[in-house]
Amino acid sequence: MFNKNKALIVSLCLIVLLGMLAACSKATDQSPSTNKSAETGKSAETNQSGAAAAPQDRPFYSIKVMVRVLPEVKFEETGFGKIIKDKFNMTFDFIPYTGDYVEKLNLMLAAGDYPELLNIRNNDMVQKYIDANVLVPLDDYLEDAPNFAKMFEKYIPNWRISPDNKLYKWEANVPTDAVYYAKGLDIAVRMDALEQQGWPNLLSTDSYITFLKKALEQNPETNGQKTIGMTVAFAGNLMAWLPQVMFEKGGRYLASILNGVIFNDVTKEFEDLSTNEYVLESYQFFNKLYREGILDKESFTDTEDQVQEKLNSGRALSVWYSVYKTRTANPLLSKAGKPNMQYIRLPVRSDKQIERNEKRELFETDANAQGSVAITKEAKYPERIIELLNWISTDEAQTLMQNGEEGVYYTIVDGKKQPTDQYKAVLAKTEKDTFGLNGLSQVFPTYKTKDANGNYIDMLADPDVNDQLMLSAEERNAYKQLGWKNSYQYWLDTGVPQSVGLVYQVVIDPASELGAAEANIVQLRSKWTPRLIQAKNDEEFQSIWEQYLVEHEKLNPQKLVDEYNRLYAEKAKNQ
Amino acid sequence: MIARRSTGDILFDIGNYILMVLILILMVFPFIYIFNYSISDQTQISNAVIYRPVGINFDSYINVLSDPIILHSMFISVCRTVVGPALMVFFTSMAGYAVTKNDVLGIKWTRKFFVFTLYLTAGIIPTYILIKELHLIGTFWVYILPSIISVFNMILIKTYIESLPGGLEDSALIDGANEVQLFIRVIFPMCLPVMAAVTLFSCVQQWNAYVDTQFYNSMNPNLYPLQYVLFVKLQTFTTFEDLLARSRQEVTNFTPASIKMTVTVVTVLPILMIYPILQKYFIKGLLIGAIKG
Amino acid sequence: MGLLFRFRNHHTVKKIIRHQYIYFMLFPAVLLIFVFQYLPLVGWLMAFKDYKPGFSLWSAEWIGFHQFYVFFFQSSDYIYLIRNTLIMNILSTTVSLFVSLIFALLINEIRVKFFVKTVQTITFFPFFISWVIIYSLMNALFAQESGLINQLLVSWHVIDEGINLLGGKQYAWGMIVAMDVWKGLGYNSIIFIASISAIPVDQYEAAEIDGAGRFKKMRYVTVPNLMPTLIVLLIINSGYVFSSDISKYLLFMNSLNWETMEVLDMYIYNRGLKLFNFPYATAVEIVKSCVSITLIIGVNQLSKKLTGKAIF
Repeated sequence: MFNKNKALIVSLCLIVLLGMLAACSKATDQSPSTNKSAETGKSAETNQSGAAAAPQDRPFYSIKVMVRVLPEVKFEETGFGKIIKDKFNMTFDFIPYTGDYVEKLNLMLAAGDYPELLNIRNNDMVQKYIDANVLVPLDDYLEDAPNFAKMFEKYIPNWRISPDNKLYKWEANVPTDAVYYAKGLDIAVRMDALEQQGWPNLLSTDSYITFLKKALEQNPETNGQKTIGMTVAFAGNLMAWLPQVMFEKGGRYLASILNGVIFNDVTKEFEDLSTNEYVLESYQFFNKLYREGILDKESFTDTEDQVQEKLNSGRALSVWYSVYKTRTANPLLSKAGKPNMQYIRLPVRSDKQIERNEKRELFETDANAQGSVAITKEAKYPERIIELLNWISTDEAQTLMQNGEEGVYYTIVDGKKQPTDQYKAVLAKTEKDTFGLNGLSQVFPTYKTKDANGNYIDMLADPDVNDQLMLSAEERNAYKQLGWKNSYQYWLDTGVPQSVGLVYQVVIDPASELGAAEANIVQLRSKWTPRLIQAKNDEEFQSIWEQYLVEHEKLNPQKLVDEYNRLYAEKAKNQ
Repeated sequence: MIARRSTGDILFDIGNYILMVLILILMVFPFIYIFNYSISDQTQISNAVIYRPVGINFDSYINVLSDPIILHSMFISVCRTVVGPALMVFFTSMAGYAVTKNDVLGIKWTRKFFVFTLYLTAGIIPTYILIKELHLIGTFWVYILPSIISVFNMILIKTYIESLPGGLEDSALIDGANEVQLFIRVIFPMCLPVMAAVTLFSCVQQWNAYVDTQFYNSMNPNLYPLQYVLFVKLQTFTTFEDLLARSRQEVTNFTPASIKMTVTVVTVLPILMIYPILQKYFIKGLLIGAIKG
Repeated sequence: MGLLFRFRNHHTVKKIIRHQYIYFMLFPAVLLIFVFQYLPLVGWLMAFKDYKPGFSLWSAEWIGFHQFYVFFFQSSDYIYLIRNTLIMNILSTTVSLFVSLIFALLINEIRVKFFVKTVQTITFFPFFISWVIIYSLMNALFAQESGLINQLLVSWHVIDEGINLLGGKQYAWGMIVAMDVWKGLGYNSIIFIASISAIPVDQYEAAEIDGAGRFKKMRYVTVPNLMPTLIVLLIINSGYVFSSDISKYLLFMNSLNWETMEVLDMYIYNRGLKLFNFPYATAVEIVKSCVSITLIIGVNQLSKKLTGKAIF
């Protein structure tokens, strides 16, 4: 009896299990079926032998694209998506990507399992894909894409990275005008502290120290919590970067990536980052901040999350580098009834930089390897992707892609685009982006500069429009009090556009011996920096600095610098 | 059963209860912190959320649960958590029983064959290629098949079976039952506590898994389990290149800590419910006499 | 001779046939383990070849032991990495297991079922919290100035200045071990709780007849019955002494405490895995697998001699 019962229970369980499995398998079946319909479509198309048919007659073409930031609305439901559906009978299915993208790219290549249209993070990776012969060369199609060839005439030679000089990729967000990155990542400061001290014009490191010291005295507590002078997220691997980054505030040096060298734009040579004079000044600044009790003691262990918390609550008077975090904090502070405690970003320069008064270099992107996009051999209709690419390379499509529809998202006043309330609502995230502004620009090129009339194609690029849309009334007022025309004024007045060019293409293979040496140099820097910042007085600082230099020399940094310069010279010669 | 409790006993009980309450506090406060954080006003976050929420709002719950894909992904998660452990327990326990048989030819090598895999990793590329060659990419089975045999659980089951009093099997074998019947009728019912434990482990593992989706099923949104959907929401920009890219492009939609907290609450509560269900198998002691008789 | 051979063969065949059902039960496990665990090991060839994704592994050029050389040569001066790895892993595993065993013993002594269930379920909870969240929790509690504990201690004048638990190198090991014990308590104790359920009631009855009280029963019945499980878990974990959970160290290591916090896997991650140097990563995997298997064979033998328990 007992056993029979048990058998019944077991068999019941099995039935339930099988049922669930069947249900799950059904869920999986959906994608193959769409695939199949597309395949039959393909054979239909080959029968037509490529004759240009009306869009509706051509098979519906849906392309899966992996994106980092998933748009809020499905592409086919957006305004832009509908236009493309009508014109080309195509749509895009955006798939969110998580995890490490470079790892994913390697895996897909290794297993031969890549989507039709793919963002390939960097040139090395693109080269790997080219070597494996899985990308569609675009040269055969260029004739059919005159708009594309014309709009990106200047950049297409740069995109021919393969030794065979064929074109396999394009780059998203190229070109991008310097105005987009003009505002430096320097320091953001709480507005009420500025107001208390009569809107001082801060620039030198000393002016910041006096200002923050006084502000701490005036506001010992915020919301019952101890006020923090300056918050920074040093935790993790950022210790090798954030306390050194002063060098990008002067002229001469472009922001580099986290490594051992920086590029001097005057001498056109790479230099050792760790021993740079501006870096030393940066350390001295942080050491002073630390000694004066302005630098948050917890900054050594704070990650970006903790910094964000400290800004959201207004507890910190200022934040170093992570000024973009104030974009989240400011609306929250406003909402919490503390609008005067919002942050504005201000510039900082070291003494030597002020003395030299060189123009700061503003990023002008004429190359963006991160945004490399290629059509793979998996693509069913590469010619249709090219057709779309060609349309996207027109002023009409670019204007649509960057601003949305005229009349809905913007109106033209005195020849300039002015945003509508609808657009403001989208930016403020009170309304969904139903036009799809955030979608295709992740895969197709966007021409983010001025048009023939000297107006920016993207209305957001215009400093006045941008301020009006992105800043709160209090922030705008704060800049006015400081005597700035808009939040861009300081940076645009004291900077010069500088194209990124070759510098970012010089890479040392991390797997090589020199690559390992570079990692050691960066690690050593990250380990010695806290000692420098925590030095008790100038003498101690000096002695730690000297000890550090000795240790640093042992790693033979000059060899690394030389190799960078050799690679740079090689690339420059090839151009 | 116990005639009289000595003072020592009573003192021990009191001490024991106090200790357990202390442990309870130590274990529950993170949950309180996470929950309070998730419903607190972001501008007021401070260490006070350890004991109370500050400025209640449920925005992050609305944000996390408003996605229409959530329901479907819950279904996938439940499927994984039911199918995976069921098959795992069936096949693993069978093998776990078989490897206890010391007199079987080649069993020592078989045991080594199993145990070594605990320490062997092939790396991600060969594994990915294998999964692709088996045509498992884009299917539900990729969640199930690789985890059907868990060597760790197999060892636990083997150890448990070995700790059972001997002699039971012999009587059954004499009755003419073969080893499969013996396993199903005698051994398995006696192993319920350890089966419950490994089932729990397996459920937890299936419920928490998202890396397999990330690798093999990221192009198939209809196979996303809950954890993955929430992981997509959670994804933070951690690498330095991301940071630089973000700062240049002014992307501001990175995940606030409150969403991370909310996601933790949403994903942990359902799986915690499974523990009390399986608990009844732990508590009852083994009554050998009853089985023997 | 031929006769003997045939006889032997015959004997073997007979032995196999006698246990045919055992083989039948083993078959699915052996097959699945072979396919999913051993088959991809072909990829180990990558460590000896100049492999590029997208190309066949077979046609790649042989480069010999270069990657191994790189690994041993470059990391040879990092004794502190091995020290940190071993200390934290050994302490974490043993302390975790012993504490969980004691917890299982103690909870077994509680007779209020509802309370037992509550405690068990709630102790399980920390297991599910990701390290990112634990880091933020640790910050709320122990940050040098804004941490709750430090604020309380300072306001009670126990200390003058907050203790920098997260940044102090002298606290690193203790903190990691304590967090591991805390996080794994509920999970690790499950298997002990299950083993306690397996102890035949008659053993307790016999002990009672001998006049054993509660503590003696714990000591002479429950604990010895838990030993096999404990030993097996210790043996299994001994193979993992060089492996660490990267996600934890990525968060808790910083420029102040790296001397005591950095572990071998962290180093390998920074030099190879993060950069997708696949041949290098594979070489490291091979070295680690070999070390683990040697360790486990040794520990298993040792345990067989000392305690009579082994996992294979």
